[in-house]
Amino acid sequence: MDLIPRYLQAVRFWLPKKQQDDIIAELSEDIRAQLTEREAALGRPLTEADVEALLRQRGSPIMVANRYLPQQSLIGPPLFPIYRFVLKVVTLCILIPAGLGWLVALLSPAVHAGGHHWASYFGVAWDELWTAWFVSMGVVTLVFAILERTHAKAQLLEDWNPRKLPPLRHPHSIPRSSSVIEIAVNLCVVAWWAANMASPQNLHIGSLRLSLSPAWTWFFWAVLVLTVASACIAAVNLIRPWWTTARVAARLCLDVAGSAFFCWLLKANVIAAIDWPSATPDKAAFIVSQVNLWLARMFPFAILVSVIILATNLYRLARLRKLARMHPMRPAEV
Amino acid sequence: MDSETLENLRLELRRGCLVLAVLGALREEQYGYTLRKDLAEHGLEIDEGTLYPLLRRLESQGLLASEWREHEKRNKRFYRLSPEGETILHQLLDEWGNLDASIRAVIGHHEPKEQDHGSHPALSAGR
Repeated sequence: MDLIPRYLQAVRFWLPKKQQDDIIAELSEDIRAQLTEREAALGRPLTEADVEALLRQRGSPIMVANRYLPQQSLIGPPLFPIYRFVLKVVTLCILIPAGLGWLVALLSPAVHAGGHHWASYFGVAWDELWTAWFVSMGVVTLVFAILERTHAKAQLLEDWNPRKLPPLRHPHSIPRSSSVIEIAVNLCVVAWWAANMASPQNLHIGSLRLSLSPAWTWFFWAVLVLTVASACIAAVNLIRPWWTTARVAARLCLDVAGSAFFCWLLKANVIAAIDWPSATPDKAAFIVSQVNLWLARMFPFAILVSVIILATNLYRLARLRKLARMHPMRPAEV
Repeated sequence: MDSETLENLRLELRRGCLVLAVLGALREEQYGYTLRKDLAEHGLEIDEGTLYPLLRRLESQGLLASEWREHEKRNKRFYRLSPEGETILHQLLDEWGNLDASIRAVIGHHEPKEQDHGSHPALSAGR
């Protein structure tokens, strides 16, 4: 029955060389004392199964050896939260551009025109993404492991000043400067829009004359009304500079309406005719069809931008509602 | 509260107490196996995987002294409290007493005054 020597040999493997003999001698003695006592209790010699059960009870060799080793970590608890934060930021910095790149590739005529199937493009991009991600994670981990083992860690964690902490954040406050800029921009847009974009027959860009389809009239009024409404919300925000559920809901409605009108316009063949001094009817008709075609191709991008805007508003609304549940004593702010 | 949480909290609470118990038990010289039995008889079960590394740590800190010696025809490592360990043990026992008193005072202060239903006997005894 060689289970005990084999067990001790396995434990020895994981121990530091200098302590191996000492620890194994003591462990061996302890096991033998336990076996002797067990034999006395049972009144018979132990079987191999008995010894196996006793060794199982003590735990796996690596676990037993591990208890004699000093606690070690690649990145210790003080640095770990910063490490995790940096990993998240780096991951986002890799994923977002890659995601946008994929989207552009999916919609780009160049990929289709070049005879490349989008799936093969994605396969190459996916490989590059994984490589970039693994290399970045490795570099970040290496940097933090070095920080962990140098004095830089102490400097990073202990050399701080309460006066240099970031200012208090109010997640629902609206900076008055933003509201002022928003009002000014909206009023400028309203003035310019009303003065220049009202007539669908008389749009002049240099020597170029654009005629727009009747659909433009709907879009013109929609933009005008929505911009004025947006300016009104900004004015309210200037007076009461924090988000409320009502104002976020109003902004959400405006954004939904604006996005819907814009997306509809892209598909509405809004350019009726183009004319310039040297234009031939065939060439002008070709240009009109191409411009309308490209506007229609922008439709998925418009949808994407709309979804991002709407998601931002919905997130803000959800946070406000959560705050309202947590602080029912502050109805004025919600 | 689930049993796993209770077990974790119990282990956390025991960890510091075990050092005190080991130092206290080693005012008399003992080897590892008998020390473990001694502690178990007094209600402090400790597995060998915890005890032996603890003994080595305390020895490396100068609180214990050890020597290999033949006993009942077998070589065993005997541990005993060092003079420095004796001093530290007294200081730790004082600290233990202060902690115990503080916890009883804190819990007694926040305990409902008129109704004593459900209060732990150990806490009641402390008031």
